[in-house]
Amino acid sequence: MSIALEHAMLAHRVRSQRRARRLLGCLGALVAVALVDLMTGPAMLTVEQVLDALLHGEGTADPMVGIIVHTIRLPMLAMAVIVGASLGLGGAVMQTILGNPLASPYTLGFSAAAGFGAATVILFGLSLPFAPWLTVPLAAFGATAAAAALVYGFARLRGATAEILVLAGIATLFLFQSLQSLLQYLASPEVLQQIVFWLFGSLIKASWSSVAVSGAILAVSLLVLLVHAWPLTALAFGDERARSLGIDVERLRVSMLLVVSLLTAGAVAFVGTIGFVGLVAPHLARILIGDDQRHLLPMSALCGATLMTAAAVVAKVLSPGSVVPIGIVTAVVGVPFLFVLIVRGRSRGE
Amino acid sequence: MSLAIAALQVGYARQVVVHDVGAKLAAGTVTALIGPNGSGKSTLLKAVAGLLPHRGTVTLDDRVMGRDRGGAIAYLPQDTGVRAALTVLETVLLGRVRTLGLRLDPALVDDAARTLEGLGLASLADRAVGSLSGGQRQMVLLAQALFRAPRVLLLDEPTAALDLRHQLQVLELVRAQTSARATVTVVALHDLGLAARHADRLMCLSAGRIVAEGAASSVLTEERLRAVYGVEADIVAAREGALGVIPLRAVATGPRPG
Repeated sequence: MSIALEHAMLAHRVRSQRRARRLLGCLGALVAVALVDLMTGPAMLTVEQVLDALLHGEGTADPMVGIIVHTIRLPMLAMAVIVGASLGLGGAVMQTILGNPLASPYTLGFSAAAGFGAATVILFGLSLPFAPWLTVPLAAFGATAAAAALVYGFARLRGATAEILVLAGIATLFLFQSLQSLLQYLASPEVLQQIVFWLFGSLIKASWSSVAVSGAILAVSLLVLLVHAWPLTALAFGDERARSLGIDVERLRVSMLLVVSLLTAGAVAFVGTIGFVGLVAPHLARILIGDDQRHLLPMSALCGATLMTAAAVVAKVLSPGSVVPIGIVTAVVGVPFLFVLIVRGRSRGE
Repeated sequence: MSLAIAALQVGYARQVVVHDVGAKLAAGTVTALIGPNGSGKSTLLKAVAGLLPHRGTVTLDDRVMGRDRGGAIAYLPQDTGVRAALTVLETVLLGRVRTLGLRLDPALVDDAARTLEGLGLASLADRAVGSLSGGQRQMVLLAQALFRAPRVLLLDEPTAALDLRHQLQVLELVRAQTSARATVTVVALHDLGLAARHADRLMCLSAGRIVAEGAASSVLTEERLRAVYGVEADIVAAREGALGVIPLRAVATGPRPG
C-alpha cells in the first residue's frame, strides 16, 4: 500500500469518526435543550426537580412537580422533538430530490394543504363520532395526501424531473393557500379565530396519542429514507449520471416525495403549521456533516428537533404565563439564523 | 467477448435521430465515435447504455440485453458537475451504489481506494470533489466508472473541457484500462487527431447513420471530411504513425449525410 493511499484511508477513518462525534454532539445539545424545556414554564423547576420527576415518575417527592413534568411538559416536549425531526428530515429529502436549497416541506404545498384540510372541518364543525380528537388531524392528513396526489399526477404526465415537481408544487401551494383564504373569508369571527389558531401552530394540542402516531410515522419514514441513503446521495451527480449508475431516478423521486408528504402530514396534522424548521435544519446539518445522506438524514432530524425544542423554550420565555404559538417563534428565530448561514457561506467538502 | 448492436433506431418525439445502426465491437478495443454536432453520437451512446428507449437490440456475449444495463455497462455523460459536498473516495464508492449498505464494508472502501491508486489519484481521495479542477474531476468520474468493473465503457466527450496534457492522460488511461480489463470501450470525440491516435478504430456518424468505420487512415479522408463535416482539411502524417487533421476552410455546400 502506497503512502498516499495510507494517508487517504486514514483521512477517511478520521472523517467518519468526526461525523460520529458531531452526531453525538448534536444529540447531546438536544438533550440539554430538552432539559431546559422541561424546567421552563409558568412554574420554573430546577434541574434536580426535573431529574427527580423523570427518574421517579409521578411518585416524586413533590407530586405537583411530577404532574407538571409528566402530564403537561413531557408530551409537549416529545411532540416538539418529533415535529422538528420530521420537518428537518422532510426538508433534507426535498432539497436533495429537487436539487434546490430553497426546498422544504412547504415548497410543494403540503403544509398549505394540511392547513386547508384542518380549516375545512373546523369551518363546517365536522367531528368523527368515535374519536373527535382525530377529526382535524385526519382532515389535515387527507388534504396533504390530495396535494401529494396532485403533484404525483403532474409528475406522471410530464416526468418526475426536479423542475416539473417544483412547478407542480408551487401551483399546489397557491391552490391550497387560496382555498384556505376562501374558508377564512367565509368563516364567522369565532370560527375564524379557531382556524387562525390552528394555522399558527402550537404544541398545546400535543397529547400522548398524537405523540404515538407522529412518532411512529417518523420512525418508519426514517428507516425507509436510510435504506435509500446511497441512491439519494447519487442524485447529487445529476439525473443522467445517477441513471447511468443504475438508479431509477424518477421512481426514487416520486417514492421519496410520498415519504415526505407522510412526514409533513404527521408533523403538522396535530400541532398546526410550523414554518422554517424544514428549511433551516438541513442547511445547518449539511454545514456540520456534509452531503453523505447516511449522516445528513439523521443530522437533519437532530438539528430540526433541537431547533424546534429551542423555539419551544423561547416561546415560553417570551410571555410568562402564556405561550406564544411556536409556529410564530420558529419563523422569527429562523430568519436571522438563515441570514447568518447565507453570510457565512455554505461550507463544502466536510 | 463482444458487444453487438443491431438495427438500433432512436428518436425524440417524432423525430428519428439514430437510424438503423449496426456494429460489432470486440473486447479490449477502443472505438472512437466521430461526427459533427447533432449527428447522434450522444444519443447512440445513451441508447446503448439503456438510458433511452430504442428499437433494435444490444447484445453482450450473445445475450440480448434488457432495459436495466447498469450492471454491465458504465456510461459517462459529458457533464461533470457535482452539486454535493462529497469526497473523492465517496464519489468512487457511488460507482457501486446498488450494492452499498448503511455500514460500509471495509473491503469495499479498500477496493475503491486501490482503484484511485491505480489511476494515480490516491492523494486526492479525501478532497472534496467539487474543489477539483475539470480534468481531475473527469479522472475521478472515470475512476467511479472503472470501480464498477464494467464490461462495456461508454464515454461521451471525456476530453471536451480538458487541456492538452489532461486530454492525453485521460485517453491513455482509458486505453490502458481497456486492454487490462478487456472491456469494450466506445468514446465519442470531436478531436479527430485524438481519435486517430488513441482508438483502435473509428466509427463515423452523420445524420444518425454510420457512414464509415475502420482504421483511422481509412475513415479520415479529405473527401469524407468534406462530405460529413463540410470542411476542407489536410490530413497529414505525424510522428509515430499518428494522423493530424488541419481544417482549412468551411465549404459552401455544408455537411450532408453519407
